[in-house]
Amino acid sequence: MAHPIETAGLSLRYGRTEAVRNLTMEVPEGSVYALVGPNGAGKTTTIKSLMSLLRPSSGRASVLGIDSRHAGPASLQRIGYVSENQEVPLWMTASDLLAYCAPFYPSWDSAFASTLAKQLALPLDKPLKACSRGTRMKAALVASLAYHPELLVLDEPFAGLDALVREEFTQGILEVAGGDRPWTVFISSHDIDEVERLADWIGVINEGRLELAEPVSSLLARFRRIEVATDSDASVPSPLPASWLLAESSGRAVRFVENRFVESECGVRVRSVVPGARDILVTPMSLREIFVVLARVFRLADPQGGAR
Amino acid sequence: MNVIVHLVRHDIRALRLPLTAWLALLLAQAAVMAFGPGLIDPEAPFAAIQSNAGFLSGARLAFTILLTVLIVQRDSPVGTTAFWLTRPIQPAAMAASKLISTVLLLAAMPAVVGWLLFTALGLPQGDVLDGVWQFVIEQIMVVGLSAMGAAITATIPQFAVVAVAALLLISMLIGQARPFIQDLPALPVAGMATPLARWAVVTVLGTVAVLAYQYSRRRVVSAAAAVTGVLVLGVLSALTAGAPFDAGAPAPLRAGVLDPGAVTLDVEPTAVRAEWGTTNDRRGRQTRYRYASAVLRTFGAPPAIVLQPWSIASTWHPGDDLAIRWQRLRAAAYLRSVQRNTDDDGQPLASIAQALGNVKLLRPVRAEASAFDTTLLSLPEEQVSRLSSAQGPLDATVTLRAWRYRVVDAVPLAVESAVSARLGRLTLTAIARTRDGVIVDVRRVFLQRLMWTSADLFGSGGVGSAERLAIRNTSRKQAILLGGESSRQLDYSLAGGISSTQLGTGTKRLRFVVPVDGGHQVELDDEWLAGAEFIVLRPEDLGVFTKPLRVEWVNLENVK
Repeated sequence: MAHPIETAGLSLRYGRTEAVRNLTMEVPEGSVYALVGPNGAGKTTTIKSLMSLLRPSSGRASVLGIDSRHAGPASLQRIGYVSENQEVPLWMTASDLLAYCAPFYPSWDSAFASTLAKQLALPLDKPLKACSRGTRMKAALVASLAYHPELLVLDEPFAGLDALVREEFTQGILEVAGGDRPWTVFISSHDIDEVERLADWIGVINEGRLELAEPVSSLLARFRRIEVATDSDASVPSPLPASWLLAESSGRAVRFVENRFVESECGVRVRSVVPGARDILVTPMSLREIFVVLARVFRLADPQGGAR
Repeated sequence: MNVIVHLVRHDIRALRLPLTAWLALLLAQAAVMAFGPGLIDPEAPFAAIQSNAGFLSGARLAFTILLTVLIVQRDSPVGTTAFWLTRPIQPAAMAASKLISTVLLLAAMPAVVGWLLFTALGLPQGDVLDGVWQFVIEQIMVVGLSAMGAAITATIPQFAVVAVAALLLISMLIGQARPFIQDLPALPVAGMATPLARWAVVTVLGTVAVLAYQYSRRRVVSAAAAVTGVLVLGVLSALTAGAPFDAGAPAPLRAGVLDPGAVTLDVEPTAVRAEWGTTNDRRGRQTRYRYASAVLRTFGAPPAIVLQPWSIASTWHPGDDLAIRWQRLRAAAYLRSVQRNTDDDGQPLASIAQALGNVKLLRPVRAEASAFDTTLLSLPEEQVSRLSSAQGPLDATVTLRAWRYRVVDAVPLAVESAVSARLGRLTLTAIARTRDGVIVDVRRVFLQRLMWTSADLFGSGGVGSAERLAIRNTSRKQAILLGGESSRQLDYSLAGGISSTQLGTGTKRLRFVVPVDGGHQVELDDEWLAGAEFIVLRPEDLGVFTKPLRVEWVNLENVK
């Protein structure tokens, strides 16, 4: 098996709306891969295609080496799935939920489930309908980890959770990911802060298209916010280098985001494009900042996109 | 299999509260069935307990639908958010678990309660099994239709919309399209005679197919089309079923019961009546008919045997026109009260008197149906009007069906005596002598057969009407037939109207009117009652034979 998740030309339509467009993606084994994008970008639809909950209009997706259209119980015994949209049997207690799920998995590890429940401070005997949303998500997480899945798929797991629960939830995932079994986590979210803590790979999806996919370390390394002080009133250079995003000028300064940052070449390149460049201030960017920049770039490139 | 058992147990646990309420409802209904008749005041015009019994039946029907929907939609095959969809559960196992849960809880459980109840109430085991089987078919119909609706909807409001649409479709098929459907050839649903049973078979097969398909493919539009197909096929299978009664050809005359050669058949020309009537065909078109009928006189049969004109094939020769042939294949005659002594052949009453041990039947009034009125000829008015003359002789071949009344049960006329009758198991609860007669109150537990049999065509007064109740005093060699009755019944099933049987309990007030003999009222003293028996009589079919009939003149010109 090359990759736990692979898609090739995956497309999915709802009537006339194309929710996912020609999506080609590979999720490396052992990675924590975050698929990020604004609301309505196609993250959940992509995941539902992977989980065989929706049928692709065209293209293909394979999960753990099996075409998602033919995924059955054997595949699902190797996949953990937690989604904000998933209905959890509310009449059950967390303990009931675990007892309900256990017979479906030959590899169910009751001791591990107990450990996880304890780590996540999950109340086992309280009906889930009386629990908070965070507690329900934790119960679903334990029920999805207790059989040591090879792949964990999380669809917007942090939505609506308070800070403490997020911390516990993330901690749960990280501790399992850091265990001695190789596994892959595929997580969709628009919560960049949490993703930054978890993910080592990131894919950015917008309007159903995968705009970029690379290791987080690489992304953080190549994006920089750059402010150039000039001798006289500055203007945005034209033509602008392709790697400079959201360039703007103000007084004697030019600001932009460089998305192909190479430290050794930066100064020379800036001075060749901005006449009179005096001081160059280079600031590293967080994943959140990069995401916001990319979102603005997408919007500028396709101002009608939101209505499509 | 273990997974299916696990899922069924999960369903039971998930719905334990509504299931407990459902069980309480079943037990409450059983209690009303068992003790309700004792609460009925025969003098009161309205029995509140009947409303309660109807309410409980309705509540059980509604609960059956609701629980079916809850069981299916708990792990819905509609949408993408159900928990089971992302768990390693075979769709076929999930569909099977839903079918097992619904049938086990909503058909088997009430059937067991019903079986225990009616067995405990003393209904004969054969009747209990027949009634419970019919009841199971009803429940499965309700469960099947509800399960299909639930499998293509995600919420109860959505189900309600689909249910209303389905009811409209069924009503439309049964009401508007029925005349056209009935002309279609019968759908081959092997071995299933009654319309409901045929419909149930189609529904069960359809439900299994729809649930298997929907749980594996989760395509609502296709599944909804399949559900519509199952509904249409179900109605077609029911409406194209044969007549809902035993229409088998009658057997030939049993050897030794009578000599057909000694039987003669006759009718006085003056006794032939010409009348007109209208009929509506299946499509509602009205046709006006003229017909001739008469009470045929039979001679030569033993008094214990009743000869009923069963079928008739006539050839009429009106004026110079060609001969007109007409026939009626069954129930050519019906038992009626006659006004004239000449018409009174007294056949059924003589047979009853013989069956009761050659007693004297004390007849309260001349209200007893005592002669068979036979249709000799029936023609559309349009056809009659084209004839140059509507008068002439008629030759016919009449098939006579021989019956003999026999006593099927007899017990002392005493409180707590019990008999088995077509009306069910009757237990006498009170016997009172009044100025006008004898009133016998009975408590009954019954399997009401709503399906006609050939014996009912003998009575012609409705299902079970051929059976007679009587009280007899053997030492006085006198008997009185039931003169009138009032009845209160508690039906076990609300869907009994579409079944061929109905289980229930209830009461009856039977009135044996003080008879008149030679113009004087017969006095029933305490001694008469003390020595009396309560009797059930039923006609026994002895087979058929044919006789020729010549009617010298049939006039359809001047009809009444």
